[in-house]
Amino acid sequence: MQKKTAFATWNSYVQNKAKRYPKLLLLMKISIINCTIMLFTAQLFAASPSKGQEINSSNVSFGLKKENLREALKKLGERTGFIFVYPSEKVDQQSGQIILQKRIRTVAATLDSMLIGSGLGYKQQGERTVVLFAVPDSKISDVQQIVISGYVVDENKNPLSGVVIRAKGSQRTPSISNITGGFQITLQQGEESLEFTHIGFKTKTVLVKNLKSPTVIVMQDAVGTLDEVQVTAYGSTTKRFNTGDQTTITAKEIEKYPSGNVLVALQGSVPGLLITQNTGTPGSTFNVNIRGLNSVNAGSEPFYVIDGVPYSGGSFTSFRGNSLSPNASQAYDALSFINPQDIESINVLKDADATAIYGSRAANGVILITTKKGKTGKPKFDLNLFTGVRQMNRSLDLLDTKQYLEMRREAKRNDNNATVLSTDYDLNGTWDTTRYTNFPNLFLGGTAHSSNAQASVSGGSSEVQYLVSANYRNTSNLQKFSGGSDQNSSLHFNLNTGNANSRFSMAFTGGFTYNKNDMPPTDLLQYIGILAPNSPALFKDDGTLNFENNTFNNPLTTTKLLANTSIYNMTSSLVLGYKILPELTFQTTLGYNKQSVNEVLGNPTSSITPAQLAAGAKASSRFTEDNKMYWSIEPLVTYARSLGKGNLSATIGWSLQKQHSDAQQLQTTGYSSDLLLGSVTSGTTISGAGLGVAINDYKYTAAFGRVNYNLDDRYILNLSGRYDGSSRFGENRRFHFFPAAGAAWIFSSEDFFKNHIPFVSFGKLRISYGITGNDQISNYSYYTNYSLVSGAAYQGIPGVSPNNLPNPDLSWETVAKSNIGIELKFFKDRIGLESNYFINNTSDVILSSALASTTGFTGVSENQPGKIQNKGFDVMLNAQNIKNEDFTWSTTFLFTRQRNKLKDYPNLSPARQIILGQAVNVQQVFRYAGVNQQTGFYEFYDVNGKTTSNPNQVTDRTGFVNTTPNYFGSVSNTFTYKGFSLSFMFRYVKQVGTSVRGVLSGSVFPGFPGYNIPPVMLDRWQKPGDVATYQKFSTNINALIIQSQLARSDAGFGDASFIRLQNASLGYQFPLKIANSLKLKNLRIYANGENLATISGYGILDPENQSLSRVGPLRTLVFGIQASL
Amino acid sequence: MKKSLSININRVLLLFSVCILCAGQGCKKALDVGPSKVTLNDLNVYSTDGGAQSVVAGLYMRMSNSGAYYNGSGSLSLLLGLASDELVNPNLNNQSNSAAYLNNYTANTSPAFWTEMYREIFICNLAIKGMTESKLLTSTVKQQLIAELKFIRAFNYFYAVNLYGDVPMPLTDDYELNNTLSRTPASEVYRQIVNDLLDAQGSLPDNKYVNGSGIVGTERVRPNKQVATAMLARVYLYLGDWKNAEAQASALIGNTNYLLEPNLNQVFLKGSREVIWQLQPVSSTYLNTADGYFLIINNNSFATNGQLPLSNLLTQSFQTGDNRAINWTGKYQTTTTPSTAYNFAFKYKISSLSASGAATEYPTILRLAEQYLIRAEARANQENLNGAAEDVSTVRRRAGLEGITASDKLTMFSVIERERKLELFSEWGHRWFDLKRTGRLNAVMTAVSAVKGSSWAEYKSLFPVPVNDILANPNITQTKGY
Repeated sequence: MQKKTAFATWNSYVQNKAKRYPKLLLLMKISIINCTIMLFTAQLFAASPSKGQEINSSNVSFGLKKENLREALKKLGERTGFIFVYPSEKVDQQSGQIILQKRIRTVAATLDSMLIGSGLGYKQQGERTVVLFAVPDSKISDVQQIVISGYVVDENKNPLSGVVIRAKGSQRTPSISNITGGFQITLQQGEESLEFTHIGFKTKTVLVKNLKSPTVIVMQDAVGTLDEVQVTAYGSTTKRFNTGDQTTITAKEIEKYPSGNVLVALQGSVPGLLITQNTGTPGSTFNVNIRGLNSVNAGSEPFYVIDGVPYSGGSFTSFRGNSLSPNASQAYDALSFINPQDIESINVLKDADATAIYGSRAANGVILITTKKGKTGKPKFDLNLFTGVRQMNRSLDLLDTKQYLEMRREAKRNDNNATVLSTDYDLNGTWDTTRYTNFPNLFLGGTAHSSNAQASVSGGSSEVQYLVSANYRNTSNLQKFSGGSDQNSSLHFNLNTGNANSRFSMAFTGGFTYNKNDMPPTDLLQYIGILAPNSPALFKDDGTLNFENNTFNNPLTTTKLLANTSIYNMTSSLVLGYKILPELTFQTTLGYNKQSVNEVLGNPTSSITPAQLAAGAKASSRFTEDNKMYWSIEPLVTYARSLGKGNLSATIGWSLQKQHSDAQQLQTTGYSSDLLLGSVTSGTTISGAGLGVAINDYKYTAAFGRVNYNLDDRYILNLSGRYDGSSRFGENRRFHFFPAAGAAWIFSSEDFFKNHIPFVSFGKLRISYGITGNDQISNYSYYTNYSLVSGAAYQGIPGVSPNNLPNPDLSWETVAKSNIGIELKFFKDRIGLESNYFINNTSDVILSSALASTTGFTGVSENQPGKIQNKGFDVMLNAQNIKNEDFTWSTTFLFTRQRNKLKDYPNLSPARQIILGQAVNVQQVFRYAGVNQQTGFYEFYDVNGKTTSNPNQVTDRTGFVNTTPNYFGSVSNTFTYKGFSLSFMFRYVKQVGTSVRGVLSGSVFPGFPGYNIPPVMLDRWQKPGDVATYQKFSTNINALIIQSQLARSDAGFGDASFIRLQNASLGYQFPLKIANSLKLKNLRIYANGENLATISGYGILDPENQSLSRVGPLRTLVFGIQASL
Repeated sequence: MKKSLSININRVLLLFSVCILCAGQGCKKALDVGPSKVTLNDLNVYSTDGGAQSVVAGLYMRMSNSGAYYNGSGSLSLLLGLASDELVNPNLNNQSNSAAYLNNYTANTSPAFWTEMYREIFICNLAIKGMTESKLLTSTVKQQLIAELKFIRAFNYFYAVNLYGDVPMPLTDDYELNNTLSRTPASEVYRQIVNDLLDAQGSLPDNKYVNGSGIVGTERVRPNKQVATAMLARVYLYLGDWKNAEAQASALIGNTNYLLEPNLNQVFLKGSREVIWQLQPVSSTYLNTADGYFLIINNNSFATNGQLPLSNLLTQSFQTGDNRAINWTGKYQTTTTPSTAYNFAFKYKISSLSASGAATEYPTILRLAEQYLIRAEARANQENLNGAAEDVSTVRRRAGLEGITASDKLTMFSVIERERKLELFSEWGHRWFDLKRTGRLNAVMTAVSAVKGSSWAEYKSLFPVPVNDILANPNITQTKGY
């Protein structure tokens, strides 16, 4: 029932501002209980409401189809019986038409929806009357309850969803910003400030009285700042309070890299973490090492954990031999199958405090990968597409035909005018001596294409959040003659439930990857040095391979290999939490990962030369089937409360894990038809190859705990320990306790510091010590295992023979880690400096102890009192050089220096390739003495210091070479100007490696038919008296043997340092106006590059992988577009 | 507040104790993965007949495959042939052959005999223990396999003691003990050899060659009672126990399953009736015998291939009309200019690596001709010169030569030594051991060294222990002189 209506005109200063930020912003409503200020005349709606109704509790089913505000208020009044009093001028200014879906809401919520963007607030006055007014027009302190609405955006003005907003100090359920960044929160009297927190951003606290209309909260990036949430082992903390040495890399950095493996993004980004890429082939393996080699014989891979579940890193089983890993038949890095775009953050844990809670697997450091999770809000669709090219990063220059033939003739002359043989096809006219092919260019000068599409949807309420993302990546083959492509499809999902108020919470996260690679396992790089430039045409006119009447060993036969590798990778993690008491939480993480490889590599008839075919060679095929299954259960109880002047938290948990793998690698030969190569049973002979049949079980169990006490946010003590056992250890020594302690002192919080050194805005000193273990040894190695004796079965019985002596005492290697670190921030956090000094001491080194052969073996694997020490320091410096509204420039500098030393080794046998006092990976080499001026051959010093061209492999290796990098790091710069962003990172490594000369000496023999050389090798000995770098050309086998010794001498090693433009990224964020006009929430275009340029004195090959058989890391450049709707 | 805290603590304690109980119960069990499911290991290998048979088959395969002392480039036939006066080394760059030929082994370059023998002895010790303790093996299988293992152990110790003199004698698989053994006097080692052989002789199948599964076959590729007997005859001969040597040899000579093949070209074939024990070739490299590959010379690059010609000292010893010179040696004329002729051992006829079809020649370890010569020597030592002459004559007649008659004992010894040289050349280092056990090594090698251009010293009759053993085992002494 309608009564009188009063209209008011309300002059509000808000109007102007509201115009400046039209729809994007924001409204601020203040509902005032005791409103005494009425500067307007009001027209009242009279209604007949039922008694004692509250707009916050009375529900109404109400909807609007395009009404203006005045009409809408009228209808709502009719519907509810409330009387709305409002400034009529203000209400009439609202030009927008309100559409409201019919639904049951509270009256307040209905009003909220109607008033969005109007600059109007409301309050209930008395039982029936609701007063609308322009805001703000009153003093906050006067009110008892305030509803504040606003928007949260990042520095680039992108709306931020999922921001947690709470009244500072309150324990009430926080609000969470929605997909457009909008939020609303009710404050109680006396609550003076709001706190905004979001992962990856600095927590922002705003005094309510300083809020302006429109309320736009700009949150600042938390990269490098102190209060971002940092995921740790079994929990989380902040950079400020972390007592351990840990580095976090977030999605923002990862997404700059077009690579399919996140390890590329970690290269150079983390102090103390050294990553080497072994090849540029898709799926390449990497050597990953945190703080030096802790072991001689056991593994030195870090321990990977994805969303709380252990993940086996390293390589997959495959016959594709493109890797440097200990077993050359292993390829595909396991992390290639975790889509980098699904990763939220990566935490690299280094010292004992951070890692010891992982016990016997923590010795080599831990890499925690956290994938992206769903965020509250309306469904948000994100699309990211990029496509680009991949190329060799340097071209190889070899002799042309004229120079080559001259080299061949010189070799013949050097060999006492040796006659040109009938098999010297390149020289004797069988092949056209005027023909020239630039094989490096032809084989490797091409361009591969790489495309990637990522689509995701996420959203949810405060109770349930979800995220589903899908990714497809296609990388073609750089080597056009081989063809094929690597295709990767993946799906990632996350479902969370539970909020701060509910007792039960759950997070279910998983991913599935299917990778298919049909590129032949061929790297033509290995052939370019062994092809005469006047080799015959590769193809005949009819397109088939040319063998030039069996005179030409056509390398392209290898491109005819059939390949089909399918890899399935599944990861899943379920975290169930239950809050027993406010201070006590029980949580269980259940994980299940599965990795499968299914591979067929066929050698069809077309890959066999006519000569081999004539000799009876038949098509053959190799098969790999490998399934790895991993499950883990980790219940955890966390207890946190305040105690005294500080906060205490304690965690205790259990871990139970099992890994099962079964692999089969078979070879079938004698196929009658190429069409049958996919069938194991269609040939004449099936035999085990590679791994053969291997079934492995690995179990692991542990109890662990941690106590953390934070006194006054100044003094923090963190104690952790793990009692664990692994089935890899002998029965007598399976369990052990691994303790660690870490302490931090935030000295900048001390008064004297605040008062006297104010430009230091943060200062923390931390120190930690602890014991960790290394269980990276093979399964069952403490038993005596019998393996098949090769050869035909004896009287039909396959023979077996014991492989090793048993050792029931075989156990973990112990690594005691000490770390001291300092973290400083200057000038209001504008400059940050973090530095760590560490010493890791390995003891109980697993070595084969030298036994007399009378034991049946020459050694047994034992934990010996040997000692290895790794020590070093690293520095991370970052600075916000310039920071103003439109332009920012920041710089990060990283430096790591590490030293590795074998400190002690009992009964070191001289035959061993390790030396006391040197790095464990030191190589013993001949000492190079130069080219003999008379003979023209290389010479080396023998053990007695005399020169010889035929050194003894055992006794004359008197020099040594350390290929551990001397130091490494990176320099990155990031610029932003309005919507533009530009960043580039230079990575540097100072190291000694196999020199180009060393690589060439082992594989290219100048003078021999077919071996072509780079022009540097022309600096050779030609006649007695010559002082030359390279020995004489020759066709003599003896020359070849002498030359190959050079690769084993110190001359085969040299400086392999490089500075590499590891990454460059240029992006442009379209203004929201443009994005919105395209019905998008966000639009960005970008160009990302990887490995764009290398500065190195290394020479013609890549200084990172130092190889003439595997192409180095490729230069990659992609262009992309990112859009959200 | 206080109350709620105490409740909290009670609940926490309850929860923790439940968890600890669960964890505690699970701990030991949780880590029990057992051994690998696809390889045999010390926990399961002796629990089935098949596993036990595989271990023994593995040993024969090792012997047949191995280049270390049974067969091929590192064999006693080749290296001791070089060390004595049978073979010459045409390739000075071949370090292992040079060291043998020039008798200049050192602790750093000692031949691989030592490690291989002790590996096999270890396997025998391990398997004898495993099989003895196993209650799951069929008793006949167990008995036969253990007897075979004892035979192989004795066989290895026989060569150990003859190559190195006093040697450590591990009889268990305990590596901590075996790593500290000092040398056992040769006489004790011999006692062990005789005991093992007698045990084997008592338990092995009689007059039939039975495979690991107990099935009788025609191939003579596993020890049986006669194999043990033949070995015993040799051991007694080396020990100077003439009576027993004669008795054991007679047992074989009188056995109709064995006869001297009248055709010299058939002696080393699979199925030869002269053979007492052969090995089945299993190597994928050498389809027949590796010795055949390394002893037959049929191309110009034989020196690089490691192939070894016969010395003139040997070839010149043959009497005219000795069919062994005709059938068991060959001559290769190089096609280089100038052309050179090389004599080579031609007992094994197949040199090719990739001969097609099944192997027809088997590496031969024991054959009847040796037994005649053993008995001849035993008889001569027991003053039965006529009997000795008869045995030597049997061997000579098969070679197309006339028989001999008894003369004085010393002459008889030299006749026997020469006959052994010509009958058993390039086989198992017989020549070296014969010279050594008869005390003639010094005299002969001093003369031979002059021809070789090397220097001889008495200590070289025994070989040096690998340096690794000297370093690892404080109780072992290096062979005198090294």
